[in-house]
Amino acid sequence: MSAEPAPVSEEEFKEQLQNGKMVESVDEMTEGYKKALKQILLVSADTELMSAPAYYEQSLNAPSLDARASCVSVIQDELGHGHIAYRLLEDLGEDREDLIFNREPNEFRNTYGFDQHIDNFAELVCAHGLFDRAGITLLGDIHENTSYAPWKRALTKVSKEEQFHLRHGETWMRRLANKNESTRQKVQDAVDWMFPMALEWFGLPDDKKRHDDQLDYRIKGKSNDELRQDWMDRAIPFLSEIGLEFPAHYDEDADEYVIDYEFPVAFDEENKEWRFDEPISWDDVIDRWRARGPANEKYVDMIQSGNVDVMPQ
Amino acid sequence: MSKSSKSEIDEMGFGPFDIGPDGTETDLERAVWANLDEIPDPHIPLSLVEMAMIYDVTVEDRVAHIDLSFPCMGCPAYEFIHDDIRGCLRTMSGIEGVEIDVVWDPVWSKDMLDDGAREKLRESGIAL
Repeated sequence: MSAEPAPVSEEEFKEQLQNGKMVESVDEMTEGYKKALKQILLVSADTELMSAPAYYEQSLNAPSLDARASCVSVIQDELGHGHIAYRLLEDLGEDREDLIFNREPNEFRNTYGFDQHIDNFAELVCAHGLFDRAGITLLGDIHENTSYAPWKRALTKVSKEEQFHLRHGETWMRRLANKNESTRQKVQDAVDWMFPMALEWFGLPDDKKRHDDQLDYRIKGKSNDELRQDWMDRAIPFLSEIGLEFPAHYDEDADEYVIDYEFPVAFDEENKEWRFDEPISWDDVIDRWRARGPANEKYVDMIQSGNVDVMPQ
Repeated sequence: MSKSSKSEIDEMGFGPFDIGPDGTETDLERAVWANLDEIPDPHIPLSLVEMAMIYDVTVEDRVAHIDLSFPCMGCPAYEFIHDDIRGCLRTMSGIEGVEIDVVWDPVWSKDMLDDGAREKLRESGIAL
C-alpha cells in the first residue's frame, strides 16, 4: 500500500499539527510524521508486550487467590495494550506477526526495565506501582495531546486499565510496607533499583536533545523532563506516605523535584544495583539499552515460543 | 442510574432480570443506590450500578445490605470493589454497617446493560 505524498513540506505539516490538526490515516501523513509515529508506537507496543513475560512468574507466586487474579488480569490487559499498538502499526504498513515472531530479542525496543528479572512478589507489585505509573504518565500525555486520532481513541480503554494496575500495585506496596520488617525491606530493595530505572525510562534530558520530532509533530505533548517531573510528582508523595526511601527531593526554590545523584549513573545488572558514585554519559545509557538487559532473551523466547510453565515449583 | 429494574427492563425487551431498584425503596435506600452509582468499576469506565452488578439494596437497623454480583467468577477487582462499597457507604449519614452478599443468581449478563452503558463502553473501545 503506497500513500500519496502529502502536499505539504515537513515544516508546514509540523506547524499545522501544532495548531491542532488531527491525523486520521496514513494518506494524510508526511514521511517524517510516519517515521516518528512508527518509532514511538513500536516502543509502546514492545513495552506493553514484554511486560507480560516480566510479570508472569511472580504473578503465580501471589499470596492470595484475589491477588493472583488481579496479577493475571494485569498481564491480560498488557497483552491487549500491546495488541492495540501492533494493530496501529499494521495501519502504517508493518506486519504484526513479523514484528512479534520474526525479530531477534535485541531488536525489541521495549523499555530497559522490562529486560530485568522480577524475582519476588514485592518486586512485581513495585513494578505495577512504579513502572505502570511511568506507562500511565507517558500514555496519559499521548492520550491527551497526540495528533494521531486513532491512537488517541484507543488509549481511552488503555488508560482506564492502567489505572487498575497502578491501584493494585500501590495497594500491595502499602500492605507489604506495613506488614513486617522483612516484607518492608523487600519493598525498599525493589524501590532501590526500580526508582532510578523509572527515572531513566523518560530518556534524555531536554537540554541534551537537539530536536524532538515526536514533539514537533505533536505525537506527544510533553518533553522528557516534563514527563519525568510528572512521574515524580505522583510517585514520590506515595512513597513518602508509606515511609520508603528514594534518591530525590522537592526543591522549594526550583519548585520541582531534584534527583539526589549525578544522573545518569552506571547499573550493575547482575546485582540490580545502581552505582551512584559512577556517573556515565547518556551515550553510555543508550549503549546499555541497545545491548539489552539480562532477561531480554528469556522474555522474548516466552512470547515467541508460546511455552510457559503454568505450575512452577 | 441504571434502568435495570424489572419493569424497565421488560419495557426495553431485555430480561426479565429482577435486579435494581423497583420503586419501593426508602429515601435512605435511594441515597445508597445513588452513592453506589458514583463508584467506578476499577477496570471499566462505568459505575457499579451501570455495570448492573448491584442486584439489591436494603437498609435495616442502620445496616446496608448489598447484593453484589460479578461479570466473571474470577473478577480481578473482587477485593477492591468490596473495599470501595464499604468505604463509600460507611461515610453516609444513617449507615453504621455494610454487609455485602455476593450472589450469582441471576447470573450476570451483558443483556443487563442499558443503552447508556452500552454507548459508554462503545466510546471507550470495549466491544460487547
